[in-house]
Amino acid sequence: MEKESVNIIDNVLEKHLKGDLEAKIDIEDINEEHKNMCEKLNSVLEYEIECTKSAFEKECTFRKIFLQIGNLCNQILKGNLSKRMNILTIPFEMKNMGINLNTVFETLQKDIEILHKSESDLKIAISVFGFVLSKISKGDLSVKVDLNEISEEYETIGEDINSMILSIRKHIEDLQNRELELEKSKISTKYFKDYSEKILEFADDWGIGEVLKSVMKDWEKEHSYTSY
Amino acid sequence: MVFMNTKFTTGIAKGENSFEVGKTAAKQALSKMNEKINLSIVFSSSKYNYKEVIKGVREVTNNAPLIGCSTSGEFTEERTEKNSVAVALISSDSCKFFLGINSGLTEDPLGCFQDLNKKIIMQEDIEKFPNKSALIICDGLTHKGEEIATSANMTFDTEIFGGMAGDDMKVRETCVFMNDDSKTDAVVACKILSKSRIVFEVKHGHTPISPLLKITKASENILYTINNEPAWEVWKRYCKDDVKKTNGLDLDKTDSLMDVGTTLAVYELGIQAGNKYIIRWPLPSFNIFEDNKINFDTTISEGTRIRIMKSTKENQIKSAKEAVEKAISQIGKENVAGIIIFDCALRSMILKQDFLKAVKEINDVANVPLIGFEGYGEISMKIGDVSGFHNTTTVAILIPK
Repeated sequence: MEKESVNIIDNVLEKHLKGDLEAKIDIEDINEEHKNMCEKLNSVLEYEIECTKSAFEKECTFRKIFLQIGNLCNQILKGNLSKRMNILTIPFEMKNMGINLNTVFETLQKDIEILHKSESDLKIAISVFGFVLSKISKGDLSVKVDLNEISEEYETIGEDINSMILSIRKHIEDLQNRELELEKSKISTKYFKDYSEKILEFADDWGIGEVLKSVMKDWEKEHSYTSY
Repeated sequence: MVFMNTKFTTGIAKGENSFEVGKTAAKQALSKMNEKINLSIVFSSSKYNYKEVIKGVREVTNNAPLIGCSTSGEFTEERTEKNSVAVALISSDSCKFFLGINSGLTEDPLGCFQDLNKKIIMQEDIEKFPNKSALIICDGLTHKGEEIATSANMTFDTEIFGGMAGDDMKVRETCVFMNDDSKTDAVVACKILSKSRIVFEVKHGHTPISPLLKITKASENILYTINNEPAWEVWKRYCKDDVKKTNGLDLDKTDSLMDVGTTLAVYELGIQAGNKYIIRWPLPSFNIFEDNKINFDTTISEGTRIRIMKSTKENQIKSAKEAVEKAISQIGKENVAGIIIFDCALRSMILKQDFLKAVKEINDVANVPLIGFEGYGEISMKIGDVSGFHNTTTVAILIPK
């Protein structure tokens, strides 16, 4: 190779190594037989510059992704779960990561929404049940759990409380009826006793009092009848 | 068709009373125009009470919409200052401005911009105002410059330009302003609908002095190792001879944090991104002589291909001028109403007294009203750009007539 061409190439390579990004072999200055080789050398120089450009662009792309992830995490900490990664800004090879991350956030949002709803339903149910039970404890059996006010998962408890109210109410009604009947029976017994004493008086007058008393005692023994 | 309907004027003042300084700067700008003001831009030194400064400006502008920030140096076409307030007033029927401010930038940059975007209600009129862009000014101490630029780009879906606030190199607290409000850890955005495209250019004056290196250990904004060697050791290797030759400083012997900081301001990091370098401002860790760590004002990623760069005063002056020249060449000087310059505070550290020369060169090229400030980072992201945060760079934004 001619010394002049070698010098040109050496000079360009030196400049390139020192960071001159414009350094390139001027093909016109190179003799014909080495033009092809110098074109290849220029391509190598260009390739290296392209590599640093591509690496820097990748870094910038990653920055965009990390900024979004940082933003999403920040929003989550603030309780906002509605944000998502902008898939359009993510390079092809990382799109799946973005989609998966969005799915995670979506699932998280749904789970937390479910948790919030459960919490709210429980609060409503406790409040409704508490009100009804407090009324019952004060003797008010006219209340009942409004099943429209509580969520489906607490309906069974609501229905059980309502059944319990009905059952207590029925037992009380039964007791009241028995009490009434007992009162009635007490009155009848007293009347019967008074009436029996009158009959005994008549029986004494007729001279058959002792006989009647003996018959009555036998009957009493037979029917375990308690005398008043 | 070019509409000649925008007026851009500036004023700059300094003093002791924040309210009066704001008022004086605004009055100077107002004295050059009679039209109704659509936007006022305020760059205030951290010396002042910001609320009082903007109160003073708004009193003069009849409460016109206002954006701005704290700064580390201010300039207009008239002069370059420290500890001053610079004001630009824009009156336009060819541009519409829509403002918003939001805080919480460090915790969640993307979320912050998304919330801000919701706050800015914009009445679009594609027929009359087909061009959309956004000027953004952010807190300068978030250490998330690139994340901020990317978040702005992802949210606004438009070209963005602007920069990070400063605080006179105290590195304590920076603020952004909107109307009567001033906030820290915040961003202020001005979405612009315009009849002509807002042209902007970015340029740095750095050249590589090291071979291609690889970041082998980094976490967030802290750089630990380069090519598996302690970061500061590697840095020293490539710049110590030049430092010794330039200012006689022996980096192997110094134990002054200031010496290291000044060195790193000149020998910055260049990320090789294809056929261009993106500049990052390195800052020494407080224990750099023991831990060899270097800090940055944005996240640094492991695996990034970098070179250690150097910037000469000449290149710094030239690059700022070239940024303006390149922008002007796209629309013609006659169509420029004014220029907003976002400049890095480091540039004035490198240039020292020559910073005045750099501004003068810009002024000579443009010869139109201009306002600028020195801050802690610049933003420029055109359609198709993947990155938008810069250091030790000049961003020149041309407001068309």
